[in-house]
Amino acid sequence: MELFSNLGLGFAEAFQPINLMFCFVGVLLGTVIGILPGIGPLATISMLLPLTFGMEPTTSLIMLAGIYYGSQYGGSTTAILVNLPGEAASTVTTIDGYKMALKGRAGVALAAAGIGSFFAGCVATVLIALVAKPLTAFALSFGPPEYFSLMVIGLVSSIALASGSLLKALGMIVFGLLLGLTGLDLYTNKQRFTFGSVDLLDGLSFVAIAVGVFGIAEIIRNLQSNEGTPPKLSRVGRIWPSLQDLRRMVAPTLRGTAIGSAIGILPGGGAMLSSFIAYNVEKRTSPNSAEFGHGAVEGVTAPEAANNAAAQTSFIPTLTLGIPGSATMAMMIGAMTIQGITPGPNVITGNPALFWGLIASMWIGNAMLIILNLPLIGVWVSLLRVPYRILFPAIIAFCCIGVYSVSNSVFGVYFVIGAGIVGYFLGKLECEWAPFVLGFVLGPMLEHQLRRSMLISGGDPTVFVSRPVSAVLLLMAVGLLILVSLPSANKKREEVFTEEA
Amino acid sequence: MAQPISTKIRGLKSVDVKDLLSGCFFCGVGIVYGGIALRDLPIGQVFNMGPGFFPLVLCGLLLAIGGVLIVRSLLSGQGSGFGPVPWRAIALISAGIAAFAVLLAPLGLLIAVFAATLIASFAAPRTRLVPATLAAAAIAVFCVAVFVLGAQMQAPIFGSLFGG
Repeated sequence: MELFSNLGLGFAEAFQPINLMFCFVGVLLGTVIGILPGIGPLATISMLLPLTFGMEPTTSLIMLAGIYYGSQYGGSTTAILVNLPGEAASTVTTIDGYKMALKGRAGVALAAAGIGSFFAGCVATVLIALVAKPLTAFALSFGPPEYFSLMVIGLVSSIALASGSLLKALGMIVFGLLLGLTGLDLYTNKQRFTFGSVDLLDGLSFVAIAVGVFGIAEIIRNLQSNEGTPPKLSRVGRIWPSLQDLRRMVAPTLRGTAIGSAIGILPGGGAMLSSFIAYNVEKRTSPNSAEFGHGAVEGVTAPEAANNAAAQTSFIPTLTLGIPGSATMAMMIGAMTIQGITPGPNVITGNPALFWGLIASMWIGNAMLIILNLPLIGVWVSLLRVPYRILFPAIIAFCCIGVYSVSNSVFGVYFVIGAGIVGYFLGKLECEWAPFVLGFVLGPMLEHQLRRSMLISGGDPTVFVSRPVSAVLLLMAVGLLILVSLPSANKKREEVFTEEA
Repeated sequence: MAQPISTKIRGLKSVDVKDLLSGCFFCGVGIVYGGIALRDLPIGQVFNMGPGFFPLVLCGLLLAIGGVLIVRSLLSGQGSGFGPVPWRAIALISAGIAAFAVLLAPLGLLIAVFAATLIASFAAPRTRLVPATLAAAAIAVFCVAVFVLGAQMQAPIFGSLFGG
């Protein structure tokens, strides 16, 4: 079969000893840094990215995959151990994961997250091999209006993730879209919102914003809330799930994988959304639904599986349409561009070895992760025993270095100060940053497709509803918007986040 | 007749401060960015949008969202406070990060990290000088070892003042 010979090609590349070694190093570093509270996957990846720049493409990609999985898992670990989600997608994991940790079942929760992720990653890899080509062909039939509508869905879906007011989430999306436009205008080469600064010609630094509004603002909040005392830690307890735990994990993992694989294919926010939906589905259908919010193992394994499956399948829209499914994915795309992969429909046909090598290396990174981490869960937890008054200055130092190393300039470091302060105050006003981030990433693309749509239609806005695919997508977006703004849905949305907070 | 001051204060208390301030923030951004767009950027036509078109649409949306938030906050009848602000933490953390940026080129990574961590560590209450200094030194050495020697980050260990 051609498809599996393709995968074979990828695996042959990825399984060379030197590649395996760098994959291992990537997973190790990604986990070690990603596990530091306050440093989410995004900051971890941006900090470690420069490590991969000097290598040859395949080695670089496989190490990148290792870093990606390591940092993702590091983020889930802090979500479970100290109730600190590294990124929007692992917010859901904190609900039951942290509760399990408080009950002394942290080890089981960490293992459940790892096992669920690994299983989902395996399934999604095969799925990609099966559907990548036909989906790419479908994607090629997309015109500017379809892209535009697709991104609107992504933006609307990010509202469902915000726990607070709908209106503020909308405001943050628009704010993000606006800031995303900073820099040179593609069409006219005119400077927009650069305030005359040369450093802003390429746009605002995404890493600096992320480090500021998530990392630094979180440290300020922590210092305020517990006056410098370390986050409360619980015993790790047993690591291996009991037979009963495993039995309870099977169906949620399968469902989470299915949900994640399907939603991950939707560009823009799919990966984030999938963990949320998977959790809600389990909560509704599980025979143990009363236990949800009090440390149900299903509430950890289902969203983690969905998240990971979606991360894998979101490579399809990311690589073929060039639309990243999450902020982390946007960073990965940036790194891949440096290695000569330019996102677009031609990646699969034009550069099959790189594409399949990448897919294979994602799977290997996943496998490496579980081999490395299951025995070391106890060690990671002890890292968190470092007193917070020593940990937080170290985190600040890491953040400075991370931001500096992305651009080799201190401009971004200064920018972090502003981003941190704005991040803290807007957070205090209950304006959330996850929708902002999505808007920021999608802003330039949304405008680009809007302008192209208007050019080809001669300024006729009905083009968005007269083309069937675009019309269906917009209809879904409207439906979703109505759904999340209904009082009952709104209440449920808040429930998921505030319950047992 | 002026109302008694106490009623006025009670009146303010029934305002949702968080909604009010976020509304003002969104409106402020909309006005500033919208003003820049109107001044500097051609709007163009619908069939051939200029660089100012989309930003202006977004600014309009921000003004609308901010306006609704402000009106809603005034009518809500439910008061909400802003809560205390940890000025000391904000100031010292900002100073620490700024110290890193200022010192990196002239003095190098080792001293920049040391200064940044030492200053930032006083953001926590009851920090004592000696343990904080030792911790900062350890973190600085750790960073140089891991990021420069290990990860081959492009930064001088010792800065230009030391001929690095």
